[in-house]
Order: sequence, then C-alpha cells, then structure tokens
Amino acid sequence: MQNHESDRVIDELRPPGGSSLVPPMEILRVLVLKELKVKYKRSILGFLWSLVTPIALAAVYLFVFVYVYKVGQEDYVKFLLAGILPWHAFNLSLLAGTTSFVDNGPTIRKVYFPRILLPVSIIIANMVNFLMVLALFSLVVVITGFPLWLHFHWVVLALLLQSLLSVGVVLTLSVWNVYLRDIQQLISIFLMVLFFATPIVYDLSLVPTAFRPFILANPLTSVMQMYRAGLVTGVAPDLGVILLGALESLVILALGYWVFARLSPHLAKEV
Amino acid sequence: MEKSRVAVVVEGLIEEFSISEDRALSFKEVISRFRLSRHHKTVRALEDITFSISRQESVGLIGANGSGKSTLLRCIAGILPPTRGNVLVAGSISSLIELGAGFHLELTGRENVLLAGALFGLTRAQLDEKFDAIVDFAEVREEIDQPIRSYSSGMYVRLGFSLAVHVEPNIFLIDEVLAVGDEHFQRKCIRRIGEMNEQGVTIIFVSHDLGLVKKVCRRCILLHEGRLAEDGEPEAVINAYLRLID
Repeated sequence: MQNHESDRVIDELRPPGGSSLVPPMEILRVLVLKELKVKYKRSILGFLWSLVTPIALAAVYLFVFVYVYKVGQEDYVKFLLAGILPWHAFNLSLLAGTTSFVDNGPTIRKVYFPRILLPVSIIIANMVNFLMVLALFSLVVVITGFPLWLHFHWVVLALLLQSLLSVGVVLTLSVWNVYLRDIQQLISIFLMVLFFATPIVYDLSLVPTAFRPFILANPLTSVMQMYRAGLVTGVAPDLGVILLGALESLVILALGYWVFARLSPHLAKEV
Repeated sequence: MEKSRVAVVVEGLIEEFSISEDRALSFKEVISRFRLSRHHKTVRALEDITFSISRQESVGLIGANGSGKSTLLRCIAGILPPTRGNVLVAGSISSLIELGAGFHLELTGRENVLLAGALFGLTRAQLDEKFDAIVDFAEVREEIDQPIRSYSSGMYVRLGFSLAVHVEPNIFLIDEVLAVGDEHFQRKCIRRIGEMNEQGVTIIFVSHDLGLVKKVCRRCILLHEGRLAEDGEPEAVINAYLRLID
C-alpha cells in the first residue's frame, strides 16, 4: 500500500539522489543524536570529559603563566576558560569532521543520503555538547558577579560565527581527506599552530605590533574576542575585527561548499 | 509502454572507476578535480547499459562476479553518479546493498533501528508505527535494548533485513543478501518481498542463487563483463547465463 504523497510524485522521472521518503532534516536529527549517544558510550565520566580536558589545559597555562612567569592578569582563570572551552569544541569539530567520510566509508558506499549531513551532524553534535559546557560556565560567571545578561548577545554571535567557520573548514577538509589522507595528519599540526595564532591563552592587546596583522587576520580571533566580551570583560570588541572575521568566515563557508559540491558526488567511489 | 508506468530508466549508462592506488592526486586535482579522469587509468564497470523497468515489475540481475551487477544497483540507488548516460527513477527508493549498513555496534538494537531506519528511508511516523513489527519480524524482542555488538551474526542480519523490508519505497533494490539467515528466515523474507511486490513495489534483485531468482522475479537481466547480455523471461536468461559459463 503506497501512501498518497508518494503517488503524486511517482510519475515524475528524476535522478535517483534524494529519492528517500525521509526529509534531510530528519536524517540530520538522527545523525546528531547518534553522535551524541556514541560519544560517551562505555565511559564512566561521560559528558564530564567535555569539562575535564579543557580545564586540565587551562590549569597547565595557569601554572606556566601565573606561577612560573608570574605574568597573569586579573581574572586570568575565567579569561583562560572563556577561550579554551570554545577552542576545545572547535578542535573536536575539526578533528572528527575531517575524518567523517573516511570513518563512515562503509555506510557511504552502501546507503544513499545527502553526504553533507555527515560532517554537519558532527559539528552540530559538538556544538550541542559545547552549549551544555557553556551553560555551566555561564552559571559560574554569573555567580562570580558578572552581569552576563547585558553582554550575552556577544556569546550568541560568537557561537554563530564559530559554527559557520567550523562547517566551512570541515566541508573542505573532509572531502580532501578522502583523496589525500595526509590531511588528517596535517590537521593536528594546523590546529596546534592555530591555537597559538589565536588570542586564547593571551590577550590580543599583548601581541607585538609586528605580529598583530597575522593574529587579526585569523577569523577565530574575532570569535574569541566576542566570547571574552560576552563572558568576562563586558567591553565591546573592536567592530572592525568582528566584521573582518565574519566576512572571512562567510568566504571560507562559500569556498568549503564549492569544494564539497564538486567532489562529494564521487565519494562513494573513492572512500 | 505508458510513460507514467515506468519506474526505472537507464540510458546509455557508462560507469568508470579510476584506479589511482600508486599515486596520490596532485594538490591541484584535489582542489577542483578538473578533468580528473584524463590523467587517470580507469576501468569500465558498466559499458553502455540501456533498459527500462515498469512499475511493479520484479527483475533479477544475474551475472558472474565482476560483471557489474552491484555497480548497476548502486547507480540506480543514487550512490554512484553515472560517468556518462542517465539513470532516472520514479518515486522513492530504498536499497539493501548490505545488511546492517548504517548500524553502529555500540548502540542498542532499538537505537540502531531508529538510526539505520532513517538512512534506509523510513520516516519517523513509519518507524513509530512499525517498530514492533520490525522487532518481531527480526525475532530480537528480548535483546532489543542490548548493544548490537553483543548480537549473534544471525540476529544482526535478521534485524538489518527486517528493517529493510519494512521500508515502503516505490522501488526496492536488493543486493545478494538473502543468502544469509537460516531457511526459516529466508522463506519469511521471500514471502515479504512477494507481498511488497503485490502491493505495487518495483523490485530489483541481485543474486547468484538462480533458484531464488526464479522464485522472486518475473523478468531477468544478464550482465556480462559490464554489458547487458540478455533481458527477458527468467528461464531463458538463466539458461543463457548457464551456457555462458560453460
């Protein structure tokens, strides 16, 4: 017994891609849920790992800068966490997103679904996880007396920009990685350099003038500046930096989509 | 043939695979893949295939290993884009290329039904409605909330199959998966496929089990080295295939 909806379209001959009855958003929802469920299966700490890893990283920098070099600034712990927590989410999105097609090779060869949903689902799952981390951190921020509600729009914008940037980079890297497995090795080096090329453990104002253009050209800088503004300082970041970062993120997203659209039809043959 | 009764049209389909194991692609090629095939050795898996299938037909695809059966099925499913030629389908498609495709071992049977169900083309409403039927058909009621890594291979296969036969596509593609499972389950599956066919579903069935092909299909297509060699009554096409092997 066919349902009536499919009877209406049955006479139309079309290419087979996208001939599933299930709407793409539903497939995306299922894939995100899968990511979230699988992430901490058979793990005792489970979700807490999303806190433990960045907190450990923050503790290391706290030790180095405040106790060894004695250069810390006011509120350095909060300052550090406001950068390291989103960085951790970005880092995980890029690592898992880049290998998403290679990791799911068998599924891609055997089932048709819009390929773009796979890397996007990984980023959404990581962002959902980060939202829970962010909720906890926001609670700490409010308890320590920061009027979060006055500056929260910066956090929302930062989340948006971080998501666009993650999707743009991952769309490119995930398909490249199918053809060139070197990408998944290079990505760790790339992320390490990016970590220090972004004002995460240091403040933008401390960067020497000679290096400043490079740091400012990094779209992640504007993301971090907005998290800082919304969660720690309450001082509006430089609008020029934000606009540049937003523009770059959109360009990266467009390029990512372009590369993806060109290469993704061949994934089932190559992966 | 009335146009609206056509379910699948394959016109001049050529499918090539590049064989590039010795050499990684240059960075430029990776970026854009302009004219990629020019620089690569390619093998042709399918050579100028043309045929069409009407609604509610049940068609068997037979041929030796490497004759292109699975490639053809994956082209019809939309998994592989045609290198040249056209593949057109009318209505929704569900493909069963491998049992348990889309399953995740750490998830429970229940979670996997919901995950793989969506990939196979079951909508949320259909999954809610048919969940019990899927579990009962697979005979895994007791184990449905255990992770499927603890399933026996029989249970795993039954769940994968059960999921696939509860899809309500207009076109159902099956690739050599009935050989698994015991006699009892196999019969159940064949009965189910027959029912789907009676309800109007177009079936395309790849198998090496010629007896099974005769049982399930009323038309048969023989592929030989990537070309369409015979197309017609199962009896005649199977005989042609047997002569070809000798």
